[in-house]
Amino acid sequence: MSSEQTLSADVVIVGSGVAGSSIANELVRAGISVIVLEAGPRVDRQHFVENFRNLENKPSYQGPFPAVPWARHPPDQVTPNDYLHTAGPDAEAYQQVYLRMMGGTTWHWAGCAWRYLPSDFELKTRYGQGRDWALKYDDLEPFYYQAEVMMGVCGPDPAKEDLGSPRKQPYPMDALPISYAAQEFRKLIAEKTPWRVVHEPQARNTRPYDGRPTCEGHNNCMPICPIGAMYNGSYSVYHAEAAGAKFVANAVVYRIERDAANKRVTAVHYYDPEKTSHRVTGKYFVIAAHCIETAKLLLVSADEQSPDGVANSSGHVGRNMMDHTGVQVTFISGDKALWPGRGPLETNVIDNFRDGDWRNERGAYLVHMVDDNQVDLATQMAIAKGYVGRELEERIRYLAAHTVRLFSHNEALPDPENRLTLSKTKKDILGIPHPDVYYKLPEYTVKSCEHTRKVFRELIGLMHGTDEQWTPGYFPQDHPSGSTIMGVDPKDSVVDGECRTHDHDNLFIASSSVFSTVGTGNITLTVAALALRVADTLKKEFAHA
Amino acid sequence: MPEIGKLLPALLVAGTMGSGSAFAQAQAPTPLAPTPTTAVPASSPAPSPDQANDPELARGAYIATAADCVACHTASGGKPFAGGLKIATPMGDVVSTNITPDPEHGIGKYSEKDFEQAVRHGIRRDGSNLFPVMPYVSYAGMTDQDVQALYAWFMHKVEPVPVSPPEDATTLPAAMRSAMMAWNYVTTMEKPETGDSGTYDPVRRGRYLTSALEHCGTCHTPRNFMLSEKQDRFLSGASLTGWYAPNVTSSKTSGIGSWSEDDIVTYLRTGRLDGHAQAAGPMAEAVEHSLSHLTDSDLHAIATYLLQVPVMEDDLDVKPRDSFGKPQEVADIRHDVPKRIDDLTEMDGAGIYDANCAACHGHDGAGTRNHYAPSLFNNTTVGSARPDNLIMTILKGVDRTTKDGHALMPGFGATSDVERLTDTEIASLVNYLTATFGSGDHHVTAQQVADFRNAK
Amino acid sequence: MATDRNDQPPSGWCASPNAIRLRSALRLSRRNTLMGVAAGAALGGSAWADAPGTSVTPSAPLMAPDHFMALSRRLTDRPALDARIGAALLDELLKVDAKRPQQLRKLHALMEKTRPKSGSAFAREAEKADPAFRDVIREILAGWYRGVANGRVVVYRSALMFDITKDAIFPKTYAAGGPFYWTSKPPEVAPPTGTPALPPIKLVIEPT
Repeated sequence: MSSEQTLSADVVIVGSGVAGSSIANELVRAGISVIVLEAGPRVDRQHFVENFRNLENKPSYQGPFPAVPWARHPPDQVTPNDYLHTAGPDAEAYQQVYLRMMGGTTWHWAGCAWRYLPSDFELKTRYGQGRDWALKYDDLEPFYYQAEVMMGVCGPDPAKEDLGSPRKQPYPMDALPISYAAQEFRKLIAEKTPWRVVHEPQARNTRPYDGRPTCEGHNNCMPICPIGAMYNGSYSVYHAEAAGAKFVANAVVYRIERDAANKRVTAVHYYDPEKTSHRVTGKYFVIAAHCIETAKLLLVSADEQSPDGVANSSGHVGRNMMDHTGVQVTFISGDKALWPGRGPLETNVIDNFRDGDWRNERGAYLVHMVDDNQVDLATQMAIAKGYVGRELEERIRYLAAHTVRLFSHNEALPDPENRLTLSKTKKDILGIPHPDVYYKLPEYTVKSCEHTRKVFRELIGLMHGTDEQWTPGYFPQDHPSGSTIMGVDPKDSVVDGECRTHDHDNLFIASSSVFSTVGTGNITLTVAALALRVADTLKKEFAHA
Repeated sequence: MPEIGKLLPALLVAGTMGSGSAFAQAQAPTPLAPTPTTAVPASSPAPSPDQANDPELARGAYIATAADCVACHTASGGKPFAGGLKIATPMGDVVSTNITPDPEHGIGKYSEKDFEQAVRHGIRRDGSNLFPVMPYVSYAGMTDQDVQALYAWFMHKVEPVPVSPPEDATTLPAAMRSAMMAWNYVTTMEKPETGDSGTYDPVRRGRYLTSALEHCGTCHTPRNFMLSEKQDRFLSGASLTGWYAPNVTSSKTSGIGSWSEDDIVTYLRTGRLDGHAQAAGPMAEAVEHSLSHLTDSDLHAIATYLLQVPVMEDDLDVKPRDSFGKPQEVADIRHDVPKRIDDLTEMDGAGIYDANCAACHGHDGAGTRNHYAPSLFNNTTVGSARPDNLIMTILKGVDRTTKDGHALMPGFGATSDVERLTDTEIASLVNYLTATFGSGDHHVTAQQVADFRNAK
Repeated sequence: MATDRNDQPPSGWCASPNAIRLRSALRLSRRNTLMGVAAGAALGGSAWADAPGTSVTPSAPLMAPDHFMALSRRLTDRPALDARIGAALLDELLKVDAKRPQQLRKLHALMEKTRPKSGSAFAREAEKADPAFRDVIREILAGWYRGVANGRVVVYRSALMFDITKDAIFPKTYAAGGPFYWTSKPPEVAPPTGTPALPPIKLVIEPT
């Protein structure tokens, strides 16, 4: 396993998703050399489109992405699965999925591009719950905008629809016109409830942008946009490569080497698929490998100098795991035909429960009326109910037009007991342990979910819904966060407000793993903004060096 | 003059090939953060015909638009008419000049006579010859009055820009400039029109616009051995190294004679005729910068004129290019399960179509119901016996902004963010498309696609 | 120490739990069902694809394609169906388990004998004759309407469920309305009046 080859660059980045690739793009254009190590392979869109069409279980958005053996990712949101092993009272609620391949998990996100609320960064100060971040909303605001421009985010005019996160510039693109189903839902909420439905900000083109076309409403943002109207990390990979960044595919980093003082990282080591080891040196290192894999890598790198893992003098690496664990219900509306699934998947949100004084005792949440094509589900339901022939066809049509799905993103709190550890029994073919996660839903989140269920029941009543089917328990929203938590105190946190590890001066982390709290909005825009801020910090340090 | 034969085609063609932002951007590195594409591209400061109250200035502004000066004389994202657009040729880059009225960097010191000499005869103020990238061969047909108006407009209404574009990074031998003088003697120049061009009858007005101002023949007329336009094959179609400027004579089989006058006007104004044709590449640029800004009556004049230019038949396109194909209704019987993410095995033509094209152009090739994405049958690009424009469209995409909207099809070439198809994949796709929706399998090879990919 | 090889075919772990329920009379919890799939896959293939005696040879068809088409037309109440899709579906349906070829033939014979007036009437008679026909009928219907048979996609966009709904909605990845088509009002649908012909089975909606 000796190192056969040494690569070197000013900055070495582990992970090619939105965080790693956007940092690479920024740095290389500032004249800083960059190597990005990606555990998974190079991929392309056309094969995923066909994989989706050939997939029997269409709702499985991991389905079109069968992993390579040297860089496994969870096969599906099911427990147990054979990669991410979850345990604890709410094991099923933490069955996250993600993708290990060039461009990362944004190959199959829904493009929801929320900024966090100012209060999300100060939960402890404002509501006495969880933690405060080691930065404030205003620190991130310019980088939020930079991320929105990079991805191409459309959103409402703040003068008409204020989403609660103050903006200095308008959204790069006009808001996406919402579907007939969403319009009807919005009207109903406005007329019959004290709440409102807002246009969701989305990294989706409402006009040609950055050489990519306008959204055509293929309703397939997850698992794969067939035309590139939605941002994914591969574009940042391409842009960084065009400017000279070096991306190495199939490079599974397994060790982070430090100097004798254990203050600076000197190299990372990776295996190629044949398990030949390679050493990559640099001046700075950024781990941007997704919340789960980032914590795993730090723990795997444990050695005599750092017996509990790299950057882990606090013991908090792998702890404080959070998500937007939610509630989901599907029902048949008794009102007029909505035909959800015309247009993109997630376009509208009830945002009234994202913040309030009650956050001192229960978590915030947001509600999606999912605009998902229900034809396949309607067909399965009608066949299961026993319809045949002409009666089957009229039933499918009716159910496809009237099936409504609601789900929520509920806020978790950082709890050190919710913890990622290395599997003691399962290893991948390179000998790297699988991740294990213990998860118990915080009481704060449980109360939030109870509130959500109450609201959902009210909405079902308003829509004269029948046949309601609640997803049992809670289900994961694939927004894992917190595993290398940010804080001002090195004793109880892993990174500081710059996303620099407390333990190692030249080691940064760009991932949702640094989140101190998880808020309610989808996490990707905040990940991108933090990443661009890391790039800014690095550019400044290189300029002063 | 051993080089001239090699050099001239590049020079002659580059004037239109490189005449807009899309081509220039392909050469430029990707911007740091993607610049939001505005509805009007940064490099299209097309003069508004009504901006000048003075009738002469108004006329000058309109002539500048009709002659499409801005396209070449403005760099991508640069100031209008300040030059600096790099026009790539196989022998080096030619950089367009600053034609703003700045005395040091532009044409501020040009007298009206100097200006006339440059525009109509290709001779600079210093007496040296312009390269025919500047279409003075066509502009030679402009009336005195229009040249005067154009001069007045440039001097009074164009903002002086006190910057010189970077000196020609060109490797063009200096001797080439004097060689142009000899060429000018043998080539056929447009004969200057006379009188007030605004009072011409439609056919004469159409001819004037087509030949002198819009210089359509620069691309659409084939050239003789001396690379002058073959006047006896006027508008019968020519290759531009990459794109093919098709036969636009009144032939009902090879040209556009089967289109109505209104059809032609719609196409010239918007760059598309639903269910028949779409402008891409250099034609999209001509529409975007120039044709879409012409008055309705001028577009009708051009159409009237085109429908009476002599019929020229084509050797290959012997049926109307938009007369082929029909929707394909075939069940999508599937044999595969999802493949591992690193399995990037090339698919066959039908598979490549399904995976990359069908989302917009329909599984049946019918496009979207509102023609936003065009149908591929009855489509001039797919139906042509020459696959050139189909290959180029797949490689470069379509990017065309008019008052009609911003039409964008992503390219599938080496800089695409959407999908980067290999030469083999594009060859398979093109052959599938022409066999399924066009005039037959053209047996395009990967090598031919590579040649188009590398065409400059 | 277990070391995974990731050698199970994607069909093993991509199969929908719902699909498994639809094809099986067994009621399993989600967890058990999935463990079953994993176990089956570990044995070298999907749990049901390798049932013995399922090879189809052209010389001795396990079921005449014409008979399958007739059966399908009756169950769908449609006068015409695509024969190529029918052949591809039959191929897969015969492989579901060892009993299927015989069951399909018997179902066809029953139809010939009773000459039912509608798909529903036929399903009711068949169910009375042999409750095992429930699953066979559901499989045929899932094949035509979902395009799925034996846990595999036989057709996607050509599945009948999209034909029934094509005036309102597009199959995912094949939207042909152009940008913002979705803001328009889709057609109303009258509440259906038909009744089920078969007893219901439980369908749990999976998280996605």
